[in-house]
Amino acid sequence: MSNLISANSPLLPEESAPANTPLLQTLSLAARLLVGFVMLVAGAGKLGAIEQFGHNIYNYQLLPLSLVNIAALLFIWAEITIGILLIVGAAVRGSALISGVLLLLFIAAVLWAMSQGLEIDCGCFGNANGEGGVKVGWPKVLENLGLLAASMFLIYFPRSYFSLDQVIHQHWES
Amino acid sequence: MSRLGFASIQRFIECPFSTSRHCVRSEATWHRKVQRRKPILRRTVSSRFSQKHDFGLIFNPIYQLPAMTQNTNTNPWGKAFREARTVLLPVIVVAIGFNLFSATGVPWVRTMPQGPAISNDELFGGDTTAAPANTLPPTIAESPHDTATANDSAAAIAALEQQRVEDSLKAARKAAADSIQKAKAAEAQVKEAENVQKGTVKEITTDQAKMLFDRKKGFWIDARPADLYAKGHIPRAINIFPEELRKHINDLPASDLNTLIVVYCNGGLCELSHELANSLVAMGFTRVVVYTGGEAEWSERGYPLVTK
Repeated sequence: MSNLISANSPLLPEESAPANTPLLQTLSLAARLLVGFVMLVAGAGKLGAIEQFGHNIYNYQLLPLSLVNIAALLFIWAEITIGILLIVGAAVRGSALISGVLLLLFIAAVLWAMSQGLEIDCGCFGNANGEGGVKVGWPKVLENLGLLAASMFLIYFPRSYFSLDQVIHQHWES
Repeated sequence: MSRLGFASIQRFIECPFSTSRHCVRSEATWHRKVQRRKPILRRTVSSRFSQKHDFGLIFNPIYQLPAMTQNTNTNPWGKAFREARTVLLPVIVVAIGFNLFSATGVPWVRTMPQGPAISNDELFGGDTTAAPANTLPPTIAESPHDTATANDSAAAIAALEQQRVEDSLKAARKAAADSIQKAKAAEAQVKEAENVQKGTVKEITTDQAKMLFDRKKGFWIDARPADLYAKGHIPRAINIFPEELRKHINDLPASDLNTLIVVYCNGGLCELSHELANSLVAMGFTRVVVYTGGEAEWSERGYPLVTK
């Protein structure tokens, strides 16, 4: 054993550290798929009704009307891109960081709306069919906090099964 | 227990989750540090004890945790930021490209939607102009009687007869023109009604709303939810939330469908008032206007509000 992990072993700097235990890899995979699917569904649901999503953003009274369309476009495409990247497992750390930032923004916006007493649709998953969406409230904050925790986990433990990152990594190694 | 194990424990104690330069050195550096610092411990425990009992299987996952989080010797946040930057660029490109080339693209800069405005004449027309029509027929009818009294000669009769013919011709022309005009007006009205039913209810400004309010004109409806209505609404306005229109049907001025109805909500992008106005038009009310400024502009100007 001491031979295997000697100071000048090639194993030391590169391979001793990253999370390789099956449990962590499984958890990481679960977190990846959870955040990925939620982001993808949320983004794709709003893609058909960008106008409506802009309207929802304006209802928070945080952005001027002139900027809500640009914000809506960026939010929607960021969510879709992150969703796809997390599901296939590419650039997991970066995607997790962006999703974490987005979720922080969402939590802050929902809390702000609640503090102002605004009873508005959160606009989280789009309501293209015209029916009322989910209202802002504590359940939404908790949901977002859960997803935020999963994103944080992914930043620390990005390695998981069935990920494109791993495939590329192995390809380079060989 | 391996020497690496001690290095990791040492590292865990000194900087559990830190990413400072001191802490993110490679495993080998830590290993050398441990060797330098605690030769006795290393020699005794690490070599003798661990030769007998290998705890690596149990402890490796635990004491490697901090090291695992720092993918070898790089900062996880640094790597995350670099990757995020790479991901964000295509996101922006795709968003711009999609909006440029997609059929469902939206304007880059959003502006307040503007419905068709209503002129003051149309809005206040009812009380200022008191039926100027039907002035022509009586004069035509009266004129022959006035002139027919003084007639001696045939020439005078002939002249009178000619006058009468001309008058009747004029009247006929006038009537024809009138009827054409009326037909056109009726057509325009039908078109307008069709437009209205398609959802283009006319909108009034805050000034117009205030004028209506001061003249005590119009039937005012607050289309917001009941709690917002209770917090403050325009005096004389009743509260009808669009989805609850059926419940309030008896409150509406159903006896006169031509009553001017003013609907408002929060202002801004609030669509409740338009929703309700369209329902009212569909019910048959002909003069429904939306006060788009709504409660927000009304209270901004310091106009009266009542709470319930």
